[in-house]
Amino acid sequence: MNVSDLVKKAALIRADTLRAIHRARSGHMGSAMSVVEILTVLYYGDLSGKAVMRVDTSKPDWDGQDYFVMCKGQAAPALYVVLADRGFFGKEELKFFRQTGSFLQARPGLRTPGVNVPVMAHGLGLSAALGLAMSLKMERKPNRVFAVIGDGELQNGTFWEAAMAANHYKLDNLILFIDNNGLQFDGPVKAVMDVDYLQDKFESFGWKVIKVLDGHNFDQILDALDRAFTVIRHPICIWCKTVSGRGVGFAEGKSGYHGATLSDAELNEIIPKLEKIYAENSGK
Amino acid sequence: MLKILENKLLTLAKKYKNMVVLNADFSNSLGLKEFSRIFGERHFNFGLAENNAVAASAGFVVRGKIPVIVGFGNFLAGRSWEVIRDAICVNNLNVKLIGIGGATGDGEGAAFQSFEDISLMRVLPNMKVAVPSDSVELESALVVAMETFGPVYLRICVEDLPDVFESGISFEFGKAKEFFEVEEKYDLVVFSAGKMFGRAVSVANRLRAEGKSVQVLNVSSIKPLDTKKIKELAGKAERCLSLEDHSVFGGIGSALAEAGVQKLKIIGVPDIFGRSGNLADWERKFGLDEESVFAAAKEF
Repeated sequence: MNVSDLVKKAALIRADTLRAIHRARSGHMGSAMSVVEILTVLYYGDLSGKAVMRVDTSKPDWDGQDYFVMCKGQAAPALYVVLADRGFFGKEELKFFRQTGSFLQARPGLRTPGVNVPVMAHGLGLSAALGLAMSLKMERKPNRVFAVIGDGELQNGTFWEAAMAANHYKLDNLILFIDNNGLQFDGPVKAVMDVDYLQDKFESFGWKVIKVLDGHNFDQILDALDRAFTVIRHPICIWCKTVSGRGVGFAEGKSGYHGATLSDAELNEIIPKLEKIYAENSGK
Repeated sequence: MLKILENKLLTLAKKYKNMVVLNADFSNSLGLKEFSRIFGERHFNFGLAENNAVAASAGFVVRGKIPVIVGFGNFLAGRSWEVIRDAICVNNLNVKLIGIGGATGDGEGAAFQSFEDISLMRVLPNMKVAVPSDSVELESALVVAMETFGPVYLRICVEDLPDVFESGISFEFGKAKEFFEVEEKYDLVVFSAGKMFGRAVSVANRLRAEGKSVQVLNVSSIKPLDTKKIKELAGKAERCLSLEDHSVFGGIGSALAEAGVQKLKIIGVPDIFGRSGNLADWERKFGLDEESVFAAAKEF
């Protein structure tokens, strides 16, 4: 996909994600919006003519696939929309997000088609990605493991146990995106428990850090991945500065929308704007 | 039991090419040195970071591996309880946990002793809990754990246990076995597993020598519990007694009470923590030495 196709796809993912959260009457809207471009690049992006992340919807257990670990489980609806759009399951399933009996639980589990690594609880996702990357190294397989984590989750100690081990085992097959939207449930990350000096923190843990100043800019994310793929013997952290509620103008960067949903009026206001972005980038 | 564990893991690793062993800086003290030497590529040390080791097992499972995590019960079942719950049990992952439970060694004290692990593990949905009662049963339980899909917590003790079952015993989840010949009625039935099982048999032998009719049931499969057999024996008994090197809260005694066993005396570690010191002294203090158990059984 070229960049305008990615922009178009991101608008579609945003709209469907907002609808799913709105329908469930619960969800983390701001957190789901900030990760949309990262997910879009992973599931639809190309680099030098090759898919950024190798997955095959017809073979969810394909041995040669790359893996995705959604550490920030609260943004699950955005992932569900992507998985449905890629064809892992029908889009009609999105209606049942967070409903009793649905495989689209608040956080992705193994029952969700396209999910290989269950989302556990905060602080544990990188460990699961680590174990998977270690297993692949042990098997001498070239598959990569991509993970995305929120910035609030970096406050958890187990995360840093995993970060230390990733360098110890020289996991250059592990690429971690930080969705640094600066908000968490109780308010700004800086106010709750500052995770600042991220570059220094990760570098001192032996990671190669690639900073993306605008985590909603496809060229910048793709460029970061291009560089990430050349790193050897170190795990890679792509640190993306993002905006909570991105694409939903009135909610951008607002704490009150970070872990919330939209009202009927708010949804009706924003959907036409996203449809306009979709239309403007069609046929380019 | 650590030598038995190591030898059996070596055998199992030859059979299960997808078995990996994870641990947190206790490979030397928990008998994994030889395993590490022979199967270095399948042995991963996570340093003093149990939570990471447990959560990482979820990643190994994705590639079809069977992770076996070995650690001290307090750190594995205790510190990593929420990780075991959210990473392993919620997703019913095929991970095997081997915890050193009960009082350990002479010196390390409360942090390295675990009298709560059975309670913590058996409360988790999808988790199976086994406490083998001698070395033969440990070997058998390790085989069964590998053959059984899903999370298993296998609790062992550091000390070597004498083989109680002369003709050997094979472990089965959900099955409890009588030690003595079956009778119609009993004055006393003792329910026990693990390190205390041999002691229960010794006490029973002394009571039987005094003319009492006593049976001992090996409840090494704590979850699932053989409730049918337990109820059947409890129904034949004048009195029931449980014996375990675990807190009196939440362990074998509690499981029996939940299963409806009446007239039950629970003997285990009272509501206190262990400390450094001589193991035999501590057992006397807890009332778990043979003389104390014998006296308690007679009094009861």
